[in-house]
Amino acid sequence: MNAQQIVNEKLTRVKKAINLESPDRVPVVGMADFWPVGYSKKYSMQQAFYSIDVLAECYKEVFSKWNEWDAFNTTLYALGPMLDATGSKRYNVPGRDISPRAQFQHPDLSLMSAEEYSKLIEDPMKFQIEQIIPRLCNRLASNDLVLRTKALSKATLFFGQWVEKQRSYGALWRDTYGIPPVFQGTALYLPIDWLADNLRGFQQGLLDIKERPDEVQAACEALVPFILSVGLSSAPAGGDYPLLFNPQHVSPFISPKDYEKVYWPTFKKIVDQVVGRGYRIWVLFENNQEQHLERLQELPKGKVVAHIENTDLAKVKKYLGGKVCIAGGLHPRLLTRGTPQEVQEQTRSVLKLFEDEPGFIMCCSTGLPVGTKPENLQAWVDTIKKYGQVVERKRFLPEKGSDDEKTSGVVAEGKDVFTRWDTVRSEFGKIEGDERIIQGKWEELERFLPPLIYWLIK
Amino acid sequence: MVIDSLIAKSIAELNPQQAMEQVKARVTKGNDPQVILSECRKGMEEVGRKFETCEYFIAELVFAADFFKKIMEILEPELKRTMKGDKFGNIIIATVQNDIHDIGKNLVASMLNAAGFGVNDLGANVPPGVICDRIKERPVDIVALSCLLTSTIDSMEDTIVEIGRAGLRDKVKIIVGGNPLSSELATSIGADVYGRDAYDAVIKCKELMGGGR
Repeated sequence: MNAQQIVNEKLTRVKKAINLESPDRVPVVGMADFWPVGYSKKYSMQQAFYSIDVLAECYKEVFSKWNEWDAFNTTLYALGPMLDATGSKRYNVPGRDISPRAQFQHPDLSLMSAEEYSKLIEDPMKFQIEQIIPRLCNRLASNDLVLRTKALSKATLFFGQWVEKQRSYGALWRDTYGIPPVFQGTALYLPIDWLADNLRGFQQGLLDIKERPDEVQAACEALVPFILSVGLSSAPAGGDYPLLFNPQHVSPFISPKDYEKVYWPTFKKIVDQVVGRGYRIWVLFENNQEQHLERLQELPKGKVVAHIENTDLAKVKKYLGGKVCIAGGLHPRLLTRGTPQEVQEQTRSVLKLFEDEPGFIMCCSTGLPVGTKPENLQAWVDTIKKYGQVVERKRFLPEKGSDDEKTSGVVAEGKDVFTRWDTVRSEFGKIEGDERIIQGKWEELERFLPPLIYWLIK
Repeated sequence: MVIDSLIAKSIAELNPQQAMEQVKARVTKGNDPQVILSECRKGMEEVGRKFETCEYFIAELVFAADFFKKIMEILEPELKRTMKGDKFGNIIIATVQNDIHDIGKNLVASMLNAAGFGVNDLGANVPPGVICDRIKERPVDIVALSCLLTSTIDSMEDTIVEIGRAGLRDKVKIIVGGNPLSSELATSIGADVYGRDAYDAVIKCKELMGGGR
């Protein structure tokens, strides 16, 4: 088979699992931030964090050796230059703030006070541009117009190149190694995760849920258009997989009662909007979320991948089997500290658990960890290939949905997210030529803004 | 558990306003601050019990730990006049080198503090040498180490090895915790015990000090 045929076979396998149909065998999907750097050993984390090409070289080395992945996340987090251009303190950067051999890390910063909820709720885009970005990025807060313009220009230039390079590397690896790229920088947060991670700080976010639940709820609702615009704008048009990546990490820490207030309403709204446009959501349910399984049964059938970190898989299967595709199964510590035999035993036990489940994808329960032993990876992949064939899959026949046609470039409505053409039209006066050309490009660049704001803040 | 103290009950039911008012009123009345503190701790124990039975989750623990700190701000000046260092045991706590995540570690520190331990929080991204120096400098019963990243389990192991190399391993008990760990892994890297979560960590530390629940 040539690379294209291999890709097609893999695409069919993964899509069938997502649709809850029976694939020929359990698909295996890889996700990694900087594992390839650890694997390659040629470069430090600092070098990779500062150069997408260095990071890509490490991925290439991995893919030339391991091409069994049915899909691989090719979000290449080489964000160092953009952080320096804007003076951002968002991450602890390897070689700059922490050891050059450590991975980049996200410190818990509180960038917004409790008194500012009303401003956030009134206009999230304006508030984030006016208040959050300057607090986070000192070069974008400067009174020196030259310095500020240079900083923003460099960040924008970098961001455009970053998006483009991720896509071109993804395409190259697909064509060379037969590995279809997935996610590629797609960015879908739920409002409460965004609020806690990036605005209030995680610990303060948890306290706010208890101390000011109404404001948190209102802020979550207000953030939906921004979140949706970022997610939909970042989805690659014509990508192999129609998947948006959505990590959820506040949810494991809250009660079902609070989940009903601050999580589920906007989660459901966003899921409906996204799948209504033909996309699917790959949700990473971080840590243990057993307390929410009952509610999650209401997710639309065959439209969501539930990637499970620590929640008991047998319980997940009991609640979500036949409803959404379940992913996970291999704890990262087995890859770094286990033996090939332990990896094989765990893999077989998970495959056994899901042998009658059409919607199952095997992957590491988090991203592949730096320090994964090659022999463990080999044992894992070999075991899936050997034992992942589906014995009998009869649980569920998917409903034929009307939303399977993917429409790219559709943006979410929201007065605070875009400066619409009709609001600036008068500034142009008489237009001699075709107004639609000018309007089209104006809106194209407007669509670029929410993801840029997102990556400046995230 | 039957709770007959209004302070303990307010804390257990996550009613900070009522708890604070009660504490202030009792302090004003001249009640023994040690007795008030012990009622507060009972309330926190009940919060922990509710966490263990999944009535409460981490957000409730964070909330309770946060207002417990505020209660302590009222009580501490009173306690200083009466207490003579009767801490349960002395603990140093840190997130290990190359890991800056401290939310879990902070929560464990607060819960240990609320349970009556003397807690010396060294922060995050703490090199093994700093931990060894602290053990040498002052009496330490337990070293509590945290990490969030799978890759920093190595740093945790290095820290424990370093404590051994410095000849300090027999002087302290070591408890470890964090998302990538397990009980087996804790043992394999040389720790004495594994704290599954903040509440479990308190129970385990009490056990390490020779006390029960």
